[in-house]
Amino acid sequence: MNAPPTFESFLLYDGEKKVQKEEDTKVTNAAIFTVNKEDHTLGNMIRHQLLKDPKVLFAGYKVPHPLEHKFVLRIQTTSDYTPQEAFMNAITDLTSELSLFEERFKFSGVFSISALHPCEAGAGHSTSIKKNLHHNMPVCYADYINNSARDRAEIAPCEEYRRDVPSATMD
Amino acid sequence: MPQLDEKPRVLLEEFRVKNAPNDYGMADEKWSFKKFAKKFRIVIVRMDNFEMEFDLIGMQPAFANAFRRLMLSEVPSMAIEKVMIKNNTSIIQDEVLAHRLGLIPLKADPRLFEYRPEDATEGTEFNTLEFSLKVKCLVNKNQPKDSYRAEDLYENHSVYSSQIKWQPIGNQASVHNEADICPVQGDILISKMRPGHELDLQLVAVKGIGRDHAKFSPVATASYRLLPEVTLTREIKGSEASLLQSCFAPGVISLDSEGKAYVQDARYDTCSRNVFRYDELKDAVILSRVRDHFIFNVESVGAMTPNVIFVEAVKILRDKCKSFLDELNKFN
Repeated sequence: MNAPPTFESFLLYDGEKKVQKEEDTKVTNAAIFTVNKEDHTLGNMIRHQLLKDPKVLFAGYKVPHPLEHKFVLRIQTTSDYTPQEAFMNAITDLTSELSLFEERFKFSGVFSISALHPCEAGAGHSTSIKKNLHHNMPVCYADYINNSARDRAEIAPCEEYRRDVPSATMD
Repeated sequence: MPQLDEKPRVLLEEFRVKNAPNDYGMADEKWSFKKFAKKFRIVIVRMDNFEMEFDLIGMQPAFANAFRRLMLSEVPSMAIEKVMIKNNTSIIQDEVLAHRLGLIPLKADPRLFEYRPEDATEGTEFNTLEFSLKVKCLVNKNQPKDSYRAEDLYENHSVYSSQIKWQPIGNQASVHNEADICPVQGDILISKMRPGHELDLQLVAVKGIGRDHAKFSPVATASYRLLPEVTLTREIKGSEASLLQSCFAPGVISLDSEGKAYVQDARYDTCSRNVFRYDELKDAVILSRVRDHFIFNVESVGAMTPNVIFVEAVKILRDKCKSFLDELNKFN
């Protein structure tokens, strides 16, 4: 059988680098990064983050061939900035975002909206949810379900209740 | 027409899907952590050991998709990878049997194990689980009279996943609990046999990721959708109101005591756009979806609870980012 080994999609070969950098010879302040053994999961996310940087003029990625496990990312920046800096900043931003994710997820309370399921739903549900919540939990949970166009800024940032919540960690 | 607030939306119109006029696209905004932290929220709506529904609000679609992909194909789990067949006289072929066994979900927590190196010939107690399956089908000696059911006529006529026995290697018996190292469901049918058929197998389970093979995926499904919204633009009463109600999933539209329709909860709407079939109702409804409100649905296969799977996905992504930074620093 000539099937390629299955681990080919995530294990680097001997001497293969995770990230390769190549300067774009035609355009200044542009570089092409080849990231091995990664796919759209990271490619699309990094590109998205780069586009949010005002100093990045161009950011795009492609997976050259579905059987080659890599993606190619091209970054062009303004003259006071380098593509590599842009790349690193994007990843740093992503890391900080991810830390926030993990933290908020661990401290987000669980409540059941089975009472809200279409078949059983009754009027005035939002108050019943608030009652069911642990008293230390913020009461923001019910708001969005109610479709009340309440401003998100009104919701307490997580720092305010973190210390009160019993260690309801998920680990 | 009621004024919609400033949430980014896609409008579901009769023949097209269009961005709201005031929505210039989230991709152009300058990113700042403060801004993100302020509007980002996670709400866990429903959770048990196997299923979880949660909302990620104020997030980029690239992130949502990354998490979905990570949960499907990069969060590890344990699965049977090798089957040593000592004896198989049943009618199911060796390779088909091995494939079936591979797909059986195992309860073992992958976080307690390491990846087995690709070149290792022997597994250690830290990266391998061994099981055995030894079943022989016989004629049932004390079968009830006048029964022709195979279950009554033969012993071990059906082989179930509960018959797979764990064989601890090294120190495993003291580290792991026997109840935690077994198939998630005991009633998975592996094979059917007749008297004289025999299975004698040695199974080796290792840790792997879904990108290698779907059997290593810790989730049955992991998907997301955008929060639907239904807005009524005028008063709807009487028979029109009940017609409107029938256009949506149950629970979306309700009637008050005067028979006036109101939107009760659009969350579980199917967004079928059925309402546009009726000319008299067309102008009364705005259907939309909130573009930065993702409703995730994660169904675990059973080894880890869905919340753990999500946290693992976040960790994996963060580790990847860290290794990237290290690689990039090398260029300087």
